[in-house]
Amino acid sequence: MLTVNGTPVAAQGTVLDACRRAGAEVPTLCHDSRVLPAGHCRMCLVEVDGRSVASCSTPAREGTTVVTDSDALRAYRQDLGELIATEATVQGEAKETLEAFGVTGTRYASRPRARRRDATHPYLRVDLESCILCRLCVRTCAEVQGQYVWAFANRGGAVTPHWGKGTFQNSPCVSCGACVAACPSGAISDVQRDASEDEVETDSVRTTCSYCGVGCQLEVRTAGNRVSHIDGVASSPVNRGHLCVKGRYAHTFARHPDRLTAPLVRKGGVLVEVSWEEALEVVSEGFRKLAPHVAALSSSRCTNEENYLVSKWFRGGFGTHDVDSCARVCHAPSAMGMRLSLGTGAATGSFAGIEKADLLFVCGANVTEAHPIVGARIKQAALHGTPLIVVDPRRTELASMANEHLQLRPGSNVPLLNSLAAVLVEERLVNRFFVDQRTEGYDQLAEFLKAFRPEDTEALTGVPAARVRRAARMYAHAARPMQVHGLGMTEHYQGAEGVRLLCNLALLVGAIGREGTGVNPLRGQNNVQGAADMGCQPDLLPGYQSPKNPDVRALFERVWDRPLPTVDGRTLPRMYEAARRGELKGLYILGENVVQTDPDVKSVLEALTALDFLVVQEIFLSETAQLAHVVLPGASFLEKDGTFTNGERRIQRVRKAIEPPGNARPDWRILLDLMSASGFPQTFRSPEDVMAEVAELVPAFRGVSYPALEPDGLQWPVPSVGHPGTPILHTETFPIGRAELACVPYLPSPSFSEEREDTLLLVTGRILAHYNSGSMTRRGGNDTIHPRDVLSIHPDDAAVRGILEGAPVSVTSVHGEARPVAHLTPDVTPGTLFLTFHHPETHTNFATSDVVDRLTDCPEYKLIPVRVTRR
Amino acid sequence: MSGGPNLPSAQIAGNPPVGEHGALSCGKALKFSPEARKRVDHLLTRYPTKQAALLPTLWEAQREWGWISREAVDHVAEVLELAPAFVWGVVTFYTMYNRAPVGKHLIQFCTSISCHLADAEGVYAECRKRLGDLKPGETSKDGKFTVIEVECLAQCDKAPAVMVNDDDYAVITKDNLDSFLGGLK
Ligand code: SF4
Ligand code: SF4
Ligand code: FES
Ligand code: FES
Repeated sequence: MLTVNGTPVAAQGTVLDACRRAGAEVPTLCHDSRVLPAGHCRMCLVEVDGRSVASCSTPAREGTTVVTDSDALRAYRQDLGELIATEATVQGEAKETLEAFGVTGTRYASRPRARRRDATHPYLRVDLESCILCRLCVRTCAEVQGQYVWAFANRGGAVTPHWGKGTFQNSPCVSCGACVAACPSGAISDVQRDASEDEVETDSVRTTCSYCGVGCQLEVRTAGNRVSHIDGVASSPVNRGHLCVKGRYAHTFARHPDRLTAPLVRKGGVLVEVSWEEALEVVSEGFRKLAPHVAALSSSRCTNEENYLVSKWFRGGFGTHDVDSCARVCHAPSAMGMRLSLGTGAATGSFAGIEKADLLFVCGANVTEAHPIVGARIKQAALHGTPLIVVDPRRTELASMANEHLQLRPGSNVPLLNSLAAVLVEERLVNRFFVDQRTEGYDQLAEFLKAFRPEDTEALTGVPAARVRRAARMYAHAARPMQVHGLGMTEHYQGAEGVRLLCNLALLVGAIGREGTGVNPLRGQNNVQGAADMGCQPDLLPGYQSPKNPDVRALFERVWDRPLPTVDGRTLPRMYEAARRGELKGLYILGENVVQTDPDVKSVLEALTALDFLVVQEIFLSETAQLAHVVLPGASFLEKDGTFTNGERRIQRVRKAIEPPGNARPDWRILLDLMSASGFPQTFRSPEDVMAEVAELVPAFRGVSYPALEPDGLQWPVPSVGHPGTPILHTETFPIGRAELACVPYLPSPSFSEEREDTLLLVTGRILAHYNSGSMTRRGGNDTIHPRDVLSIHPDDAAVRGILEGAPVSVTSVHGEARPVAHLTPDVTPGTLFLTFHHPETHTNFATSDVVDRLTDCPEYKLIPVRVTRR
Repeated sequence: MSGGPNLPSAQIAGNPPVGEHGALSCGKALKFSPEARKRVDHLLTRYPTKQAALLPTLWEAQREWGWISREAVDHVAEVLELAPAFVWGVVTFYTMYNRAPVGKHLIQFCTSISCHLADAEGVYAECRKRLGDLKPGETSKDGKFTVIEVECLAQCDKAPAVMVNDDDYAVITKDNLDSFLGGLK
């Protein structure tokens, strides 16, 4: 214990922590809980046993007496404030802090210096005249984002923060906004916030970001009915106050004039605005007439409650299991592969494991771009010395920091991962105790792997055997090796099987069921986990329960008060096929732009145009919505309530911050209206009521309710009311008893048959500034940061084809043509290409193929033989 | 090792105007010669991290190109896998990295106490005058000489002491100034 102004508090952390716990106010200018204390500003001076010390950087000691206010301290603060004011035009938080402590004016001649200014960046404005030299910009950029954009230059009176040569827009900044949020003086400021300065911020709402499966917590500040700016929630265990360029800045789409504000129905070939009553009538009639030859494609961007309603509506209301979601095109193979091997198709650990792990194994995931906050955490871990193994055909940012980068040929995941396992077996690096106690199939696997010595697979994978051996040894020698993987694993012909091989590796060394270990798929969209949890997949009801199980069936039929269909449902690619054959007649699409995001667009278009009735519920008139018979204007995540489930199975609240524009409505409400109009009325009055029914039907959600999700959400399974959630799965046993070690033979993808002398292998994916079809991120400043899709091509491949940097090129496969511009980079190996799909005019997915994962029908976006020519 | 401008930053020739912050450009991309690169690679074996070798690597750069230009910063940053802004921060913290081109002979006059007592300032001024009224830190038209003032060179017994690039010169006075300059080819 120690006392602060007479109040006893525990002697934990720093003196500043103790003061804050005791409720004593101490001014700080250079303190931020996310970075190490630095003691630069000296504003936080307090007296400890009569001596003045900087409280932010002094450990609290037992038995000391702390005083936070005295004449001497006040005089000291005044003097410091005056010195700062001689050199800087202090603004913002720092100004408020100084004023709050009565520090004003200056007795010294002021000598503000001309300092660098910059207004070239869409989100950050720099005016160093206000800089008070706290170094928070340098510290946050290094210690939170790991980007090292800011540094201090010069010494003595000339000292100043700087970002090197050129404009700020051209600096290596990734626009995470951490330094903006940290800078107390207004020297670095938020352009959006500056623009709305005259408007009073009226409200602040905590919600969950919708831009990826990390699920960062946002504090959305609103002014009237618009978002003024967004901050990270510092107390959230997911993002700890950090955000990326999408979460923090890409919210202007919500007020974009392109937003749909009224229902549209096609009349005489054109979409015309109609009333909600008419639209609901047309939709319910349309589907009722065609049932059961109707299907639904639900959205991983929508809430759990909305996904649940879609699943219930089509299965219960129209008697079809043809319900799928966009998880099909990303992580269905993870769910399937992990379910087969381990019994549960979800991440076995938590993001918190990143800091606990003593080795990170990143496989087929470009984490710093696609999951930036997890990426930043991995980067920090690596910078602090955690060894890093990266398996990726590209030299990604993490790959460039890795201790081992296994730069394999696209399509050779299976031989490579088998070889890693083969080394474990051959070099006796297997955890026999774990394998004997908790797994099955070791002997067969050991035998099977004899054919996969790295020396034998070298030619296939392009990875030197010695490196494979080194990586396997590193993985085996770590006490807590943690895997994360992405779509580079799943979007392949052997996607689900590849994921099983990741499970093999973890099982062989016993790296599962403990903190800082496990197999952790990084979910692509914000609620991919939730869409699957809520039964938006044809073969499984909410909670991964099979409609073939009589008990499950009976339960659902009782609660839903409807018979369940008996015919098996179709996955998305099968739905397209059925539509082309005329067997499927009606399709409801919730919030997905399949015409841009699904592979082999030509055949998708054929399917959609063959339908008798297509309904699209959207926020913009997307390329897909333009084909619809009815378009229903839904709400963005900022405009509705519900929950999203992130990649670590954490169910988190989504809260309405602003009203949807015009006559647009929250999607859950539209779904409830559609259900009643089509004769399947529901009693729910809010998303909260929907979650109550989910809790009744799904054992893993039994303890989930909105009050229980306060404040930071819960990680399922939550098997009973009051249960704290489950950060780590499989600690004692697997749901299937023993985990299964899988023998997976290598079956080359049929795509390879399209390879010719002059073809290169195209891998598609995304980049930091944009989100999928880009309908949200293209409508705002992120488009300035990344205005077009570029094709990464190795300079050697480019030279042979006479392609120069920035040249328009045509990328042609047997399916079609994409039209990006070229970017020459050694980050891809010769023979490999990389292309994003964020801009519709690029036509990326005209070139992608119809090959799908053998087990789950997930499309093979990562391996397309193409020809590249100048346009 | 050659010395460098040791003046309040505003007076350092080549220190960019405050408000600009960024090294001067030499106009072309730079790359260590194979020999220099070999020396740098050897340096790297002696430090636990690449960052730790920044100071000696900058010395190599200065030896190679005479001064630290924007392009030198970029190249050193690339070699050591550091952010150029960080490298520039270090360059500007120290006074002995030249941030602008210097003449073939960088003449450094000590004006600390012993040399001061022996009229170092006077010799310093005279030297600049004879080379064509050079300002402190300025380079002569023919590109041969840059004259600056530095702190104690640890030759106080030979005041006024001068260093030219890496070499020491003892007792340089107004009287022997011409023969001293004449000896610098
Ligand atoms: S720019 Fe802001 S954060 Fe950086 S040193 Fe100046 S006041 Fe601190
Ligand atoms: S926005 Fe992020 S990356 Fe950019 S300078 Fe600031 S902290 Fe660094
Ligand atoms: S807050 Fe403690 S020294 Fe700045
Ligand atoms: S005082 Fe000039 S060398 Fe020491």
